[in-house]
Amino acid sequence: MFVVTSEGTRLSPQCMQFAKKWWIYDLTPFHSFWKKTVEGQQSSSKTRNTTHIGVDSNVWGALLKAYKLHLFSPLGSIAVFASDFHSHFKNKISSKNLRETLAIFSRLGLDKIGHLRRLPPHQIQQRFGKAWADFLRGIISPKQASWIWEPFHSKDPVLWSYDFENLCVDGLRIFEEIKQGLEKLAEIHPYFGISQIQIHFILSEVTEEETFDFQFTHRISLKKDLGWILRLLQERLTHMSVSYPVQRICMSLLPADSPESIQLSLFEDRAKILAWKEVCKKLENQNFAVFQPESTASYVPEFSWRRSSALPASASLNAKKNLNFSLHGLRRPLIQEKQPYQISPPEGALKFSERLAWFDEKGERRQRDYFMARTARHWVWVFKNEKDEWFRQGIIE
Amino acid sequence: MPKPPINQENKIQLIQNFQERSGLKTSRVKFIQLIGDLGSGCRRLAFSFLPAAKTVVWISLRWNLYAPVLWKLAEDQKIQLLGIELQEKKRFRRLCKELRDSQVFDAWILDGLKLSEGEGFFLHQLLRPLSLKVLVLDSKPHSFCHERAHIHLSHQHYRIFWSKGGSPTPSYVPAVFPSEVLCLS
Repeated sequence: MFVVTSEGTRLSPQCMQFAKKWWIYDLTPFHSFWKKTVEGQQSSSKTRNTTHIGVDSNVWGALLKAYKLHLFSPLGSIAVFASDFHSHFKNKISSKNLRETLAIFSRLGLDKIGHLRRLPPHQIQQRFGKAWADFLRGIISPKQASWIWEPFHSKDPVLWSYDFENLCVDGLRIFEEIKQGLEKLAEIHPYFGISQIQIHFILSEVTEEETFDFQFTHRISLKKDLGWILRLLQERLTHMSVSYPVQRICMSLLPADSPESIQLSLFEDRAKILAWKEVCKKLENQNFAVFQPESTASYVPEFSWRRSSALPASASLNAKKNLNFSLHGLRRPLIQEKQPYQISPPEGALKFSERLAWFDEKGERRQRDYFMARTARHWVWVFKNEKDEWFRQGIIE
Repeated sequence: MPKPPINQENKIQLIQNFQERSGLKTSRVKFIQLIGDLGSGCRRLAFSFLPAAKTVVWISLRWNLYAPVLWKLAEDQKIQLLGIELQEKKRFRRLCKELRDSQVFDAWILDGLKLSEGEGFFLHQLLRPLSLKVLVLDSKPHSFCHERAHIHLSHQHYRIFWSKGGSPTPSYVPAVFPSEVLCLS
């Protein structure tokens, strides 16, 4: 049983927020006593007409009741629900498109919601697109239509504060207090994920505060990554200089989104996949240039690939699945400069390797004829451009 | 108390004790150095020195490798490769600590980092409890490496000979890509 209400109460973890105004609760695992209580509330709310509440065996049915829609409602009344649905699920449906679609329904002689059943479902998708088809399927047949359940997660920060008995100017002591505070918090909230740490130092004699802000691009586990967090804080706080003695420390840990669930293979090591992801994120956080290549549309060697995030798109560690480049340019030399540099025309025998010709942004024709040439030390990869200038691109290995 | 006389047996015992204390015997990490100029085949053959590795990190001070080819070579050996360009040499030790803590990689390739002896022994100390391979691609021979191989491109083959550890006779690997150009000469 699902309940839709406009009042958000965190009674159940099985909760979803829809369109920033509705709370949908999944009461399926609850005892029938609570279900009857909710149904009783629904009937009382009908009489008092104070809160909108919808109860049904499925989400679509509950939402229709909350929006006070049924098969005999005028078709124009679905506009609000449709607008909320498309904006919530980020469907690219503009208000103009919404008005036009409703006008088309009107021209087709569809006045009531129930009249939509006259249209074959596949024709709805062909004519109006998948977003509308999903929405209208939910309205016409709520029991059969699927609903994307997005669990709601609380964003309340975890707070901690400490008052010094005597005013403190020692960065090391301040760090020790914060360390103890974090260790306590890690015991209380072992599964808490952090996106940001804010530390406020309330100074004596002045009203201003000194603030240290640590933002993370990924979810940091409070308990698991405690050592790493402490190292990070130690680096900052030992070099800290505050203008006045510190009277009080306030720390707030802002929660991160819950980790994405990933599809794992039966034949691969889960721990290794997660560790790979974790180390990539940690190194990226510390501004190390960590990357894997990704191919671009260009065939010009220096632009034919770019660095992309090393985080695996899928959970698989299989190298073949994770490679983001297509198979062009694999017969090129391994060692290449970031930018080719001009050289004098090479002497001796040349072996032609490939020709590239394209138009640049200004519409001018560009051409490169690539050759392999011998120098005193090694074989090099050179090219001649459309102006007969020679450039060195790389070394053959 | 008078010290016992140092005969041959005592000497061996003392050496063994020293090796165990200093971690030389207990270390499971293996350092291999490949020496060769650009174009000699060091980088192309690097993965063949890591037959058992599945996840490898390639650290370079200045990235001058054509990544699609490098990743294809890794893929052929069924290796999951991660590239890191270390713009500041002073952050090398921090990077090593992070990589060591992760315990994700079976092998590290240190390409042209121009390591000092101190950094070499730092790596020995850091990685002593781990079982992994470290491949050092550098032009200068390092004493901290267990094995040292020299690679040259010669007669359409990469010639590999060992000046420390490894095989006493040189080995030859056919050079696929340069064979197309060597037919010119």
